[in-house]
Amino acid sequence: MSFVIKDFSTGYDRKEIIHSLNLTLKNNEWLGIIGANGSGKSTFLKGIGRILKPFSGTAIIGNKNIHNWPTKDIAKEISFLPQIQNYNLQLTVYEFVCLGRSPYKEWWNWNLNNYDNSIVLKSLKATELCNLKDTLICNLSGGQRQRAYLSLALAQEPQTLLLDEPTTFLDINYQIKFLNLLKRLKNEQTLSIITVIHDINLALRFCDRIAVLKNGKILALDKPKKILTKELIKEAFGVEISLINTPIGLQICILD
Amino acid sequence: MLFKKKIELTSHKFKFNVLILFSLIFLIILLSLSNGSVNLTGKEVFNALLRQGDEINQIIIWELRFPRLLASLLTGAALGTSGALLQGMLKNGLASPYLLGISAGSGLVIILLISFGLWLPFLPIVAWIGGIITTSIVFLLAKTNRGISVERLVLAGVALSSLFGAIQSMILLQTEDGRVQSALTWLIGSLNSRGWAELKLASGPIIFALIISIFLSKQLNLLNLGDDISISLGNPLNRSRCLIGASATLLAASSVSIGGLIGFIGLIVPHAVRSLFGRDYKIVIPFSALLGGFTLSTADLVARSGSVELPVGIITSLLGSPIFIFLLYKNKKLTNKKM
Repeated sequence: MSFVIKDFSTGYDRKEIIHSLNLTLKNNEWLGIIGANGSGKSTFLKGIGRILKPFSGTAIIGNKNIHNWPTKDIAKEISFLPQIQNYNLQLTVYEFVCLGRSPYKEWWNWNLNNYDNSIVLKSLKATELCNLKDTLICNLSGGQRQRAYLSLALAQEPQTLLLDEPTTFLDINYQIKFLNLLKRLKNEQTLSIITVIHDINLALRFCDRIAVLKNGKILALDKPKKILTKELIKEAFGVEISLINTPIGLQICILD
Repeated sequence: MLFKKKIELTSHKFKFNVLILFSLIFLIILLSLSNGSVNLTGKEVFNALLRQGDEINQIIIWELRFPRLLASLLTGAALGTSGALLQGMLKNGLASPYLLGISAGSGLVIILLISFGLWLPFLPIVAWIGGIITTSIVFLLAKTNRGISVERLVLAGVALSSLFGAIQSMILLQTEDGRVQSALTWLIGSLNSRGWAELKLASGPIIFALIISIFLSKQLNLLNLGDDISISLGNPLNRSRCLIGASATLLAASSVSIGGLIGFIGLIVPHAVRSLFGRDYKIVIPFSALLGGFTLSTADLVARSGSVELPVGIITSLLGSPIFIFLLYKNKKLTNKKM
């Protein structure tokens, strides 16, 4: 199911940050969003994650305009994981992931049926957290916690995952592990993914397409190999780079 | 393995604490019914409850002690639950049922009516309406074009409380001494001579709001994850905040109409519940009601056990402050251990 974003503008209060942005996320595609600080990456993700209201334009998944459709129905299609999360939760991993079934429950009902339980266990298994399901969230390490949040998102059975800088607080080993896990899940569960990511080399390595944002507008949008030019990076980030061929593909080295 | 052991221990601790709480509630019910200016034995209480035996005992139980016990249990349950709802919704451990302007609104109308000697028989219901109207104003002030802001809710509550507090003081200064005494009893909170009339008015809304609150625990758990994830999980923030706020207001305003402005229960009980029973709101909400009811009944028993009966609000504040400091100290020790 494709996710079509058309003439989409959003921002905070009356200040427009994202200006008439057009983008189509194909089925089972991983789109990375890169850009300098203040370019509007997180604002854009919050806009299509329904955290911010649109000023104009539409974001349509299937045939549903995500801002007009009931919020619970959209929660079955799209899952959004923000950058800042509550790390001090005194819930076990299992209880936490069970909350991912909320879109399928009425507001007064928290009882999970057999199907809900099977999805929760599947999500825990997919993120390799079955052995930690009785551990409190606040007792998890950074990498485990990130997987628990991913597990929560998967329990929603979404078609599209929106992740805001999911690797920010992870060391380089866990960054690669986490993105490899996402890649595996994308292929196994036919997910479409949009990630805001700061590390351009990781975006190059994992994303199917990359959108470069500047001042709330798309500067370029294409496959990693096509998009990566010294001129573009200079324009987007204001730094000089050199391109290096490595065993894992083209990577950048900052020269400034 | 270590975690499994920890969970088992937590579960044993939970069961033990539940057992202790229910035993204490049973004990306080017995003591509240049997103790007073006329002490009754367990058998006399039992007979009187069945409307058998000595007629005076039956009157003592059915007209004085039983309604007062029910009033203390219901008021305590309402205050404890209201505090838990607001602390969960505002994600602030210092939130109390009176934060959103209930005390300001109810207090102002109580003082107005008592000072001018108007509609005194309707004091409970007018206090209830005053609290509800003030909280509605606070919610209206907190509304922005992005929805209801938690920060604006707290600020609007504080601002209105301050304004109404000043008006209360001004009116009290102009009021004759006898009436000031009566107004102060309401402002401090007392269960003296509370009976079936107050219960008839407030028990319906309290029981209704307690049941709704239990169902709201899922919303509180979702809000606890943070606003963004809560929305992503399909939880409409405004609807949740309105439902939680309305239930908390209904509980607090109804408790005010029974016992006046009884302090500290709504602030401390949810903290004690989280410390003794866990942080999942499916647990916090019902146990805040139970522990709130127990705490206020105990305070009321203490308040009427001396030679002169004290307003129960004084006892809750006198006992509440040291308990709060103890909980802070205990939490500090736990935090240090974790670090």
